[in-house]
Amino acid sequence: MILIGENIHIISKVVSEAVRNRDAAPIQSFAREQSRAGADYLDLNLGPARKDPEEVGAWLVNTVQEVADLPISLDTMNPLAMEAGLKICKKRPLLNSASGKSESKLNMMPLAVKYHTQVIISVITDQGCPPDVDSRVESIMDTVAYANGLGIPNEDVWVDPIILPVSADQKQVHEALEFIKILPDLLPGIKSVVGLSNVSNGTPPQLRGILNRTYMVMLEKNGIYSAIADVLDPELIELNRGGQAAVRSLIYKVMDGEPVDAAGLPELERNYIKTARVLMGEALYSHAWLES
Amino acid sequence: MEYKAPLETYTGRVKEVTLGKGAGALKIGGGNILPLHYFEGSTVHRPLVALEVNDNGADRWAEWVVQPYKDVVSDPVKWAKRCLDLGADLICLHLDGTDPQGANRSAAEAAAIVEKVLSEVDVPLIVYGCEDDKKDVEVLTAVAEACKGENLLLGPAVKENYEAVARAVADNGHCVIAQTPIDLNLEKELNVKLLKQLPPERIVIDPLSSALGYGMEYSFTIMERTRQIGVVFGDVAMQMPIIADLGGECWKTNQARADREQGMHWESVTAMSLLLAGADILVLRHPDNCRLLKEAIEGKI
Repeated sequence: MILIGENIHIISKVVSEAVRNRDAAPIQSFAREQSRAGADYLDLNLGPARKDPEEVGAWLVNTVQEVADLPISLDTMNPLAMEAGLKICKKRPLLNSASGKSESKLNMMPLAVKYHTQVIISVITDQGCPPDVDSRVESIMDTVAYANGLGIPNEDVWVDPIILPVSADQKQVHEALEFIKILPDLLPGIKSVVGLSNVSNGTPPQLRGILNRTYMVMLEKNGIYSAIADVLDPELIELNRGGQAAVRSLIYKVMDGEPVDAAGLPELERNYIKTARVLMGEALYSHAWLES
Repeated sequence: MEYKAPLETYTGRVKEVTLGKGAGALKIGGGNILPLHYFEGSTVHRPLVALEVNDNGADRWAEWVVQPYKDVVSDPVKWAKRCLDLGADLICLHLDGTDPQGANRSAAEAAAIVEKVLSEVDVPLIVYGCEDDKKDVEVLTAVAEACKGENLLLGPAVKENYEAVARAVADNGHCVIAQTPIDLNLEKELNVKLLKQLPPERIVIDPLSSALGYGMEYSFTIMERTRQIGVVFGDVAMQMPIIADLGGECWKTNQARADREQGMHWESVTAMSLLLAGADILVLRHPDNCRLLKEAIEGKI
């Protein structure tokens, strides 16, 4: 799948300070590192960008483009920052993101048309995040129809089902998997994307990786096109390139409901089985899910 | 053709936990059914009703709930005997007097009280500390050691102190109350951790019991889901019996303090609801409600 490097994110202290001081070095170092690691896109998350949005948007895109050839996924709620950044992207960018919210339809989607970008469209609407597969379907059909009306073809739309943390709402994790599975039938030609690391938000930091990686394999089996992910996790990259066949096949078995005999397997493989069961909603999540 | 009602069968079974020892021992759990679904499955132990005794007296209790005990509240032994005369299956001794913010009774004094009550009654004893996680380690350890081998149900063990509490329980032959704040995921996590120190037959889950109007529905859903996950889905970390320590929660509400009849209903409705949700032990304060709940459990109402 296409991997979008997540590490240039305003929530990181290093990044927010670098942006505030217009200090190119830390940003460029993240850009280089993620390019080397194998990212296909670089996500630049500016958050709300309240102060000098246009200048910041342009500065960040330029700073990254000086050292990386990858296309950019520009992520900000601020339409001014978004436009300033999109305007100067050398490669065709990804607008991250639009949604079914009125405000987004009004301010973000037209930018995708104006700058001929690809665009992430999430299932969120003015009513919030839909709680199950059916309501996600209903919401995305409406919003994509609206985007089509503006002249954005399905092929340029990357649908985001919104991933919630497994520690907060385990059922939603499985609902999103199901949604990804049926999406191509609903909207032929459409692409899809998730914020992968969201699934492990709120879990013990040292255990986030295995949740992210397992969920990535599961989403991929269900046909996902791309993920915004921690590309600096070498095991995630290896799995995405088809490595660790044994792990992949165990995760598939859990998804298909085939019996898996974990006894006698190496600990790593047992841990992937346990994690897949939690993400499938077969076992109740707790922070100690690998210990039981 | 004769009609035969369809019956569900489940893969999981609630662990059987024995409380106390010898002739007075009582058992809870053991069933492979959902709460009170006696028609669905195998022999189970019926839920038990405990009455609360407090080492701190009953100064802050509403007058109508003190009334049945008012001549004995300064003596935990007499109070416990009164509870048994009034129909309690077993005694739940709360050691509120050990609270550092209150009377700050020492661990040794508290242990002496528990020993004394234990020697005078022939039913199992549930002992709760004051719910100060540091002081509880001292107090529960002292109690566990003083009553070694008596198989008390001791707690609460919480996230902050479970290792030390479980060690005292394991080393001295008791059972532990695993308490988490109305959260299924945290409940499972604590159970998983405790299972490294104790077998499941020595753990009872306390997911916290909120009173009617004060979040009872949250407690209800957690208990209900605990049972479903343990019995229907067979999750071994969720198969321990459940204790609902609800009397204190009900009687501290303004509604219960304002009016006797209202207070009685507050406690009985909360208890009945949590019984339906899956509680295996109900801890109450008023003996009339104890009788009522026992009748309900025995199927008389």
